[in-house]
Amino acid sequence: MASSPTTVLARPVSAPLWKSARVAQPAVIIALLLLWQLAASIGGLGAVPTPIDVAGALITIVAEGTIWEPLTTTLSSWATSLMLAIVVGVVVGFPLGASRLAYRLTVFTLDFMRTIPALVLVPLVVLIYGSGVESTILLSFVAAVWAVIMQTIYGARDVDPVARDTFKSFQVGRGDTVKLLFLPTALPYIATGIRLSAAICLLVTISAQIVIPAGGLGEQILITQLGGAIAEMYAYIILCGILGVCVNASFGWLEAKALAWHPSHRKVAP
Amino acid sequence: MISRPTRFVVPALLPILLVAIWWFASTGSTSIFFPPLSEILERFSELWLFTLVPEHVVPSLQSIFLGLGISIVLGISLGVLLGLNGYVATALNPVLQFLRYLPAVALLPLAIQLIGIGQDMRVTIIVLGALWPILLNTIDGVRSIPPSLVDVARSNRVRTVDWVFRIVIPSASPQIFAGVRASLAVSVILMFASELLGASRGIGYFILEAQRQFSLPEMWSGMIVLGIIGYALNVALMVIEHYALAWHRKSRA
Amino acid sequence: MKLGSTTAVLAAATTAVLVLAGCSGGNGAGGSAYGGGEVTDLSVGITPIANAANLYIAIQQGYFAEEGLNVTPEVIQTASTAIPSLLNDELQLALMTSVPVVTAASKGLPIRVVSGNDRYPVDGATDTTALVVTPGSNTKSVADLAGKTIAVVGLKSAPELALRVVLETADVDPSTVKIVEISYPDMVSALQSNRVDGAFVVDPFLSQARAAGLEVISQPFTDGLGGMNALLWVANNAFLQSNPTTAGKFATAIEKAEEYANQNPEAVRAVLPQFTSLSAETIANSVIPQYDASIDTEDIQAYVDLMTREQFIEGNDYDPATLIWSENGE
Repeated sequence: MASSPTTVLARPVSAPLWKSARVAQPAVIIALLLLWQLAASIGGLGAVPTPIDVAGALITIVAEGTIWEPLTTTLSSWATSLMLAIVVGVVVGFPLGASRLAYRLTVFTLDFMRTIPALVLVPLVVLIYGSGVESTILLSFVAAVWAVIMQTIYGARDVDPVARDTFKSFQVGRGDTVKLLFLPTALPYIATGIRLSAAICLLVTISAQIVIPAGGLGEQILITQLGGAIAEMYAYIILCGILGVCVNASFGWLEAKALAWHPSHRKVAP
Repeated sequence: MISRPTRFVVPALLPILLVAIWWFASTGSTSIFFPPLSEILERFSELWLFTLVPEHVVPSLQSIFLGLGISIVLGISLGVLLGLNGYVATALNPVLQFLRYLPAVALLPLAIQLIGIGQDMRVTIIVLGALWPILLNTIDGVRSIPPSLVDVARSNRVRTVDWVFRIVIPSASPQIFAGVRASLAVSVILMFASELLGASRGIGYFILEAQRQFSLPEMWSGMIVLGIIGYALNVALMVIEHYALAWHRKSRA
Repeated sequence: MKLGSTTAVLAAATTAVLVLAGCSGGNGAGGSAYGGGEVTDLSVGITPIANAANLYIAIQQGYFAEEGLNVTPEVIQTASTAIPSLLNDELQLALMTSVPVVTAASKGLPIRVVSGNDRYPVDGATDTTALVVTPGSNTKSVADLAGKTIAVVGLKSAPELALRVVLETADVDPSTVKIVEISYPDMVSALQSNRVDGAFVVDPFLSQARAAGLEVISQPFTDGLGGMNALLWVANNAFLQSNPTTAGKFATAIEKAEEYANQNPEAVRAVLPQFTSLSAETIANSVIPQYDASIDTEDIQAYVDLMTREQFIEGNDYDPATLIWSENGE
């Protein structure tokens, strides 16, 4: 049976409570946890610990304070690389988008650079900069900057040509044109770029921390695995998942806010 | 109107310029980390055209194709099932979102512990990362089938099999392809990361070994190979998507 | 245009800045001032194994202070990360296994050996490493290893070199043996699940292996590289040129520590908890390495020869004399 795309699972008056999302979603989560607990307790999952063990490990690392140093390392690396990616991305992207010639010259190259997985630079970066925080920041920045550049370019290109000509004929100065025309037009695109790069920076930061290894939550996952502290490893993995959800949710929300007023025919790059 | 040959000239200018700059800037280089481009290209032709292809390129590509293939089959089938059953999809949504935003590389040590360091582990990790974009995009695509199509199918009493394979999936295919594009990028990354941590063959392994032995020209040549492969896979997918969705574009024109 | 969207973006940016402001990053690097006076504050890289106890003995017994040096140990992972740190001056000296040192030097990296540290044992009883197999398998000795799979902790490393030497001595062609890389904690389970036929383990994993019933069939470091340098103290060429006196003092202090350590194994045991996470019991039963700060051209040549033969490096043009630094030389 086909579902109509307009089905919204808020509670229509006639539908029973159990059908509403508010009940169903937590119920699913609880059911899965129970299933996991059951399967792991009877030994059906091999070396996988029970959710209770994992929760216990999570509580322990918070209570003992061992969580804070890796967490701050990961968060500060993420934040630094994100800021760098945004600043450089916007500064580079604007002129490239504003000029048709510049766009045609660079779009192929930018597309190519975007498909290179940043992790491939890990061996080189580690040789030059060692395995400290600087390396993870550099790698995340290199991975994420292309998304910001591309989105900024789309934004700059989306400027209404009529408006642009109007500004020109009124001889509005450069600074004002950017501030009053380009920036508002490009802001929703930049917001998308920020969301994309926030996600990329987190992903690459954690990945680099695992494969180099270079501190933070990523290295903790590796260390706990090597040291046999499996429940703790699961705790750190779940922590990374929570971070991922938080970053994507909050920046997605910001992006939606920035998009709220923009006409919906705007093109969204995946 | 720009003539066809000219269309390719302008975009090609910048890459050519960059390569030229790299070449000349590195010619007399004494830096260990940035050997002359001529030396790198020499190693490249010695190693990758085509001596090492069977040993390293093939296993890496195998991992990607297997992992991506499984993700596509699983992702589309589960995605259609869930997309058609909105209630279950919404109920499962938080779990799916969590799994999608969990960085798959974080699962790498876990996979090594449970499965070991063979190709099984690498394919598994790729699936664990590449499944979600396809799955979630398929669900989205299926759920946004225009009501008019639904009504037409229902009034014509279309059989379920036909409904799924000839209406639902094609209608959702733009979104599905968008998901596959994202999954391809994830697959390449996970292939590389898994080879860094546990492998004895593959491009990632080759680059890592070259780094450990301080064989910089070899390492650079490996990086170039990976860049080319990543780009080529993307282009291939774009071409496939172009032809597969040709009917879609025409119908919406 | 609603101000909302701009404010939202600014809010995100501010949040990011606040997160950034609350945290610090970066490691403290030893102060280095090239030109002018030589440095006396040294950041020294070590891996947390018993061989590095020499450094801590030197600190504890005040040998560095006597020479006017202030030494801070930094724990490092492997040679691949130590050398970049040496090259960008995050570390002034590092304790590294001979094999990666020779590899790097043969590829032209500007590092040089300041002093030896210890040597591989010549008596198996003092060797804390071994090649183990599962009992009951048809691998009873090194000669049975043809066609089998063996785990080592790192490829083209000292363990692999020692293994190959031992294989060749037993007339086994190393190319018929499949050598795979597995980290120490995973080796025992890899053996037990038959993913590999043999594993080259070090303590404390050797004790674990013995406790799990695994059998020792060889001690490759003793049988293959016995008496050769194990770990070496290396420094960046530039550092050595600017700070020859400091380097010389470092080497002197290490030599004094070597003598003390060899005569006082209990003192070595006492410093181990400072930089390793071994249990008290393991420490009490552990075998102390043979410290030996001597190093000369023949030692390096021996490595070059072996490594060239086993195709780790192309060492035909390499002059080992250039690797060893001396205060009187360049």
